[in-house]
Amino acid sequence: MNHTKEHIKLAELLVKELTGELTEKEKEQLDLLEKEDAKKEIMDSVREKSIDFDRISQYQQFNIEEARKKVDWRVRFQQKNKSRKLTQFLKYAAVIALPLALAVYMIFEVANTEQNYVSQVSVEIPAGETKAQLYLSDGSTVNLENKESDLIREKDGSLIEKGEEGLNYQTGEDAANAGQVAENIVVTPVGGEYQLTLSDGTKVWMNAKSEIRYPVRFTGNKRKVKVSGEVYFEVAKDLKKPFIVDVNDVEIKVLGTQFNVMAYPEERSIQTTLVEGAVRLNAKGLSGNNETVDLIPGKQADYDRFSKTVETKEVDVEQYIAWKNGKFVFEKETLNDIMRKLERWYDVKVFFQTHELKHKRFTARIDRYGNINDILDKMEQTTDVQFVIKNNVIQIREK
Amino acid sequence: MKTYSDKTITVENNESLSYNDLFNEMYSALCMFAGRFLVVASDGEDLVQEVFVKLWDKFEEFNSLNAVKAYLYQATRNACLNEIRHEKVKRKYESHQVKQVESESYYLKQVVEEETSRIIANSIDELPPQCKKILQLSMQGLKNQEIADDLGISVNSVKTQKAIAYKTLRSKLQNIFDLILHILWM
Repeated sequence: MNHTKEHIKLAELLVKELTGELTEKEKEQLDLLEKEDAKKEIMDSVREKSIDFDRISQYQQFNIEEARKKVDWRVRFQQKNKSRKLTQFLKYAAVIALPLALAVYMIFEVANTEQNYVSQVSVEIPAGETKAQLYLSDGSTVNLENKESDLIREKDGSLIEKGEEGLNYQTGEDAANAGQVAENIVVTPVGGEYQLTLSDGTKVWMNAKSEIRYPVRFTGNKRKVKVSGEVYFEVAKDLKKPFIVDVNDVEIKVLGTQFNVMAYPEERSIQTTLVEGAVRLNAKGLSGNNETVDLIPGKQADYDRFSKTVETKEVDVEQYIAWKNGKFVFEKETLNDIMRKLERWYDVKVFFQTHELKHKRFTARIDRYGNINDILDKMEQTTDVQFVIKNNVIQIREK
Repeated sequence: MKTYSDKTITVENNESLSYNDLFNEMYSALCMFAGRFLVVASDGEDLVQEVFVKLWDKFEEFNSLNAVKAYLYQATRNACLNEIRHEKVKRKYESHQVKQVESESYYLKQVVEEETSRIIANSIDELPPQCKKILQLSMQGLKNQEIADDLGISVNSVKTQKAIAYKTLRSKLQNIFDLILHILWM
């Protein structure tokens, strides 16, 4: 600890040296520190690097406000737990000073269980639902929450049909004039899902917190869309025009098939799971050269964003497309991975009391449109994990 | 403005230090610092938040700013090492890679490097908002015209703002100024 303090001081002196603010006394301190070999090495390297603007500009990426909010929630949670310890103390007191203390203890205990009851059962956290936002090429937005039929006209003349089955770009009418083809974007929020049919007849299912960009008509010799989040494609066959899904570091090329892509920015890997047909993956490698992988049905390509490598493996496909069929299927999945999925679908925030809890594994099959409590109850029954729900915050702790 | 639970301690020279200010000052730096140990840098935010939750109860035990900071760096490092031990098992990382990151000398060097970056980042943070934005965009390598387009202002006002940044920073960080000058006018 003292070493750390000393090095924090050293950093301060080095910055002052850099800015020319060093006093005589501080200069002496610095010279003294330089006599130690280990410190001299650090000093030389810092002086040589001078100011690392690359790093400094990365400081902006953090949302301090959001982080502060999360920490505040957890601090409040801790405080609540302390009042629990008080009841525990009272239990002991009751044994020692029987009759009176017993009465007090019972009052507290009853109050405490009642409160627990309230926090665990009566809070309804709704499951996700059909919900999305459409961005037209002129920047205007259309709310896609209701299922009422409607017709939307794009700037370039194309018609978009909105109905029970989501958006449909196959209007059959070729009113659109030549020239620039409009690009549309559909975005689902946390706790939302949506479905659409592109102009070529390709069907698209979007999971929560996802985005897809596509032209309202496909011109040229390929059909290209961009996605992030999780999207299931049922691509209409067109041997002359390959369908390409661009997910930043990975490009998936298909002719006509069904597959699932999961590419959330907060997930380490980009997973492509093939259900039917064939796909070709083009992934960005570490040294800039691309790696090409062909998938056959039942296989999954797992692109690791960190090492920039692709691994293919045989998987139980149903598990990965369960969301599209209204289910959650977990096969020995870690609690960390499970909770990230629940966070996106139920719009909850999850906190783990200890880091170890994140690595526990679960197997479960659950209805996606059901109450989150059912899922958590099931998991609670089979292991030593406990979930405490307050508003939309779930704290996970050891039983 | 949202208010959070806050508390204050007295540190060197009878100055007071609030938990909230400490959080704002140190959070980004600790996340960047965590990234120096972790395989997936984005995991660092979770760990740093956990470190701050733990600090809440201990906060009153400190009576020096450097001691709290040292605690934060040390606790963040411990959390990261815990995490990579898990990763090592899970992803079979090269053990020599982990060993290097686990060493005390690696840690101390990272503390010095991050602290120097943090002091400079924080002084940039104190600039007027528009000024700050422009400097940050310059640091990302954007040209005046691009900055103007990005912010929807004229090239002239980008130049004026840069001049303000120049003046303010000059009084704060004298010699580094040559370096900042270099980015401001490139």
